[in-house]
Amino acid sequence: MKPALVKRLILFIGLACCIASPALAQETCSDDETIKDCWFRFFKNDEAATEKKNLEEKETGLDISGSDLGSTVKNFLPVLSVSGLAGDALTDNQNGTYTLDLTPFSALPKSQQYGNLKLEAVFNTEPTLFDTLKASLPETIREERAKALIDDLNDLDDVSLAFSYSYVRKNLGRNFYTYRMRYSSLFEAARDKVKLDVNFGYLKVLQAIQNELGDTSAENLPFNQIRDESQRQRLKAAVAEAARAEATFEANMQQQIDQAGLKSFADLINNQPQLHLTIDHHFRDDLVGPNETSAKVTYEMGFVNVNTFEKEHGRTCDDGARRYPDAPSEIEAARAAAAAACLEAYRTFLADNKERLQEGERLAFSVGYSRTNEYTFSSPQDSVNLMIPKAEKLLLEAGYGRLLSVRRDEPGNTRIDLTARLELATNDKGGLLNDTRYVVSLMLTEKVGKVSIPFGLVYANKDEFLGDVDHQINAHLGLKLNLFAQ
Amino acid sequence: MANNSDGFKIWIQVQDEARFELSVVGKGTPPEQTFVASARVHVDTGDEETWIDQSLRPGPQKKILSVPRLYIVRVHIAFTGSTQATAIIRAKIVNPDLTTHDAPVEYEVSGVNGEVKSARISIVTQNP
Repeated sequence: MKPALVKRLILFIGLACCIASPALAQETCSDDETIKDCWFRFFKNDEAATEKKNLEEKETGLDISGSDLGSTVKNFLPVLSVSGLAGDALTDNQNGTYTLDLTPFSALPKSQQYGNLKLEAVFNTEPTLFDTLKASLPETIREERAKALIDDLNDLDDVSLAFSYSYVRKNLGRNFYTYRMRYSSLFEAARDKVKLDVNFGYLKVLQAIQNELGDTSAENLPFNQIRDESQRQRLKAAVAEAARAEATFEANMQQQIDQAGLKSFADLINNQPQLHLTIDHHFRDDLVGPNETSAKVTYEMGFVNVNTFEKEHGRTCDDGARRYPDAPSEIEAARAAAAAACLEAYRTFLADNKERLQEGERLAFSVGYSRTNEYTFSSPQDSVNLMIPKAEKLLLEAGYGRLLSVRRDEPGNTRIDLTARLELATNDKGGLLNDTRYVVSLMLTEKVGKVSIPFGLVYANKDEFLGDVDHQINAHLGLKLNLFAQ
Repeated sequence: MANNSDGFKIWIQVQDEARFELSVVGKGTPPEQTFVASARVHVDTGDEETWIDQSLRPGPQKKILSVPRLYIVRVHIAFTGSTQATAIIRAKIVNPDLTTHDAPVEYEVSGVNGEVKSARISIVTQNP
């Protein structure tokens, strides 16, 4: 091919592209579409347009109540998720128990029924025979008799009633409702950063022809029902143009929200200190075991939270609000300015605390009390005559956990959890017995891909309290290592 | 009442001094309602109003409409929290004689942390 001919061909292809591009950009609605269908064809407000990635499960919590030295990592309180507090009245826990949420049926004030307070009954549909009772049965007939005794049990022979209350105040608790005004202000400010030239074009066309349309709801109007060709073409172009502009605005707004770090607000709430009380009572048939009552008060907190933001920058946000002018016309501008200053402060705060937030540092304390009722059981035919005195315990627990090796923009893979548990048993007269127990455990959990490998040391003042360890180093020290943990 | 997640409505031939009402409610209990709502009202005169979360929930926030005007109301729901939450946007127009213009609309939108969903309501009032 001659060079001149090649040049002409390239020029022709180039021109064709230049001509084709505006043609594509001017793509408009079609005659047989409705206004709404056309709008959504250009404005894709579907879920794919926005990032639909859920927050990854974060290792944010401590389970200081667990006696097991398994990783103490768990979502103690799911991030802002309290759906379990008032979900289905009856839930199948898939382990032989059913939980009945009594909160909506209780005589508690409506304002206290959700979020802060929970009352539930748990029915164990697969009750088991009291271990001590089973062990006291004659060995020769033990399994046979145990099976016969279990057959006598029903769903009401092992029931527990639990009451929990979270003390919620302005600076305490993890209920989003408490902090929604601040989030609202931040969102408004992030949105205001994106400007939109509001497009009234399609409404102007509709305004001109509305008397002919007759219907008072126009979004389902097909374009081909507009008789005036000129108005129809104008409307089609205007709807497409407005939808495209709106889609661009939405994309830019989403970008602003991401850049502003609004997603992290959920983490700040999840790190708020919380104080909660749980009281539960187990009603057990004699075959299942003694009745038991326990109560526990727990305080826990993360270190980078809404409170720390408010302490450092709250005045920036609130002072702006206080400076609102009297003139109504200026209020909007003043509100926007205050919100913008607050958003900047929020971004600064997140930048300053990014690593600590990623570390997920948590601290928790709890004080608990439990009482196990006196237990008697007599079965002459089995030569069993059990009498166990009542027992009371005072529990003190503390836990601390965080991710290690956090570098900027790179969450760490290793988590450290330190827990300590002190248990004081009391006698009938309230004095401490000599079997004071304490257990201290240190756990490292390395996350490799989706696999978590725990490695831990546990120390107990008595070897029987070491729990389920893989290697007992000496009477007081155990090693926990599970390379295949998931 | 229309109930969908499209979030797009155009009312035309709306009478002078009709009242537009907008409210947002959450599905489930208050702790499950992990979102904030916001609406921006644009008028073809160039006027703008912002209706913030506190005025929309439970609302309704109201605006008296005049003729001959064009209104665009853009509603945004910003979600937070790892569990999906659902907001219900309700809008209607009440005529001066207290009858309802056309039918009220109700849009249900759901989302999780960081997502923003929107609805757009357009109003064309009657020609003089």
